[in-house]
Amino acid sequence: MTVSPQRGAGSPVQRSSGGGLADVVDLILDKGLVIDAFVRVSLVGIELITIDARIVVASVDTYLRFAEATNRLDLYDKGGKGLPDLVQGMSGGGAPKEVEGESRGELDEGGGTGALDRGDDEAEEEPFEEEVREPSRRRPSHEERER
Amino acid sequence: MTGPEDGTDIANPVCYVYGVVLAEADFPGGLKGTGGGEVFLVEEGDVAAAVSEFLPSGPLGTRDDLLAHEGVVAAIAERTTVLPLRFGAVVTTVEAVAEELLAPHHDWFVSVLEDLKGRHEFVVTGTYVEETVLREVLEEQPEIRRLQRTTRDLPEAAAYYDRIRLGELIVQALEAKREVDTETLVEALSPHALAVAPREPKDEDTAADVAFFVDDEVRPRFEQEVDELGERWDGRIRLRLLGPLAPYDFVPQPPEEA
Repeated sequence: MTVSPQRGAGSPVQRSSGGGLADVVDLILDKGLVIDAFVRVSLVGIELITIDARIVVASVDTYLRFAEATNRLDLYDKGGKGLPDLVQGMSGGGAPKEVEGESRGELDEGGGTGALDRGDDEAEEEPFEEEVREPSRRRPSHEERER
Repeated sequence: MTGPEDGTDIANPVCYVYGVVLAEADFPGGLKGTGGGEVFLVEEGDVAAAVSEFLPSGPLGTRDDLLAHEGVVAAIAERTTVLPLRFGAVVTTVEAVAEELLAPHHDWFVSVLEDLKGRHEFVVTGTYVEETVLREVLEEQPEIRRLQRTTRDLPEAAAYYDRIRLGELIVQALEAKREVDTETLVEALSPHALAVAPREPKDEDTAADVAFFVDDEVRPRFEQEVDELGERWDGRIRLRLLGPLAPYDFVPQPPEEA
């Protein structure tokens, strides 16, 4: 699980290999050989808490988020706000108001593959944390949140 | 604590399976698996399964479980060719892994693993730089410009439906862009790949999400092409290259049951 710029340091492409990354979570949950196709008799049926990492579908909330984003863009033009504020604002915009962490999680999940300027080091852990918050919404687990 | 659904005695360890490799494979030692057990090989003829034992004590799927599974497969894939199993493959015993998983499908595993040798999966994802792409959309679509102008100075409640319409048009515009940009990515990279598998976009910010199956020998050229595209798109789309990975998106259809 390394995240390293392997080639020309000038490349804007972010590279990561191996495990420990949010991007790979959907691979191991949805892809790969299914054991049931091979083993029938000695299969152990263990309950899985699966994570649906692709929760964001086009919805009114999403539409409002983008509408909001263009308006913020306008403010930015007038010199009122910098990009960080724009990004900040979008994370709250249009999302359900119950929990702040929730809407933030949703945006970041949206940009899940390192959308908002994120250093290489952080990329290894951070996106994962954020996606794992999704299931904890349904099954609260403080253990996960605190890590 | 809940036991396995089928009522298996929870006092007995069960066998978690990560993937199948050739028995001759250069297998990394000292890997800790899902549930904390050490990962080892169960061999049967020319093939072997990477497994670890654990005492089932409830559902699987915590952060640690997922990380452990991913870590094991990634570590194996780094050293050798592996057919990855989907998360949560659990079989009663080591003997059952040999007798039910490996033995009946031995020749199929061998031929598939031989085919996959020296090849890896890479996933290239692109994420739009929102500011850049929204400006493009505003410039390109008069209707979006018009709606933006009419909504921006009105109180939120007054322009509610216009704002929804505005956002909807933007999302549609981004979908059209994604289609074009994904196509560009696939066209640029597919000459260096053995197979291409477009994946479901994660959300509206996704510019492209495509898995490529790449021969190790061609990898430098493939990566160079990714870099060139990354430079071309700098400031507009952030590219990310994941891999080398086990061939998750390119596992073959399981054999028909004999």
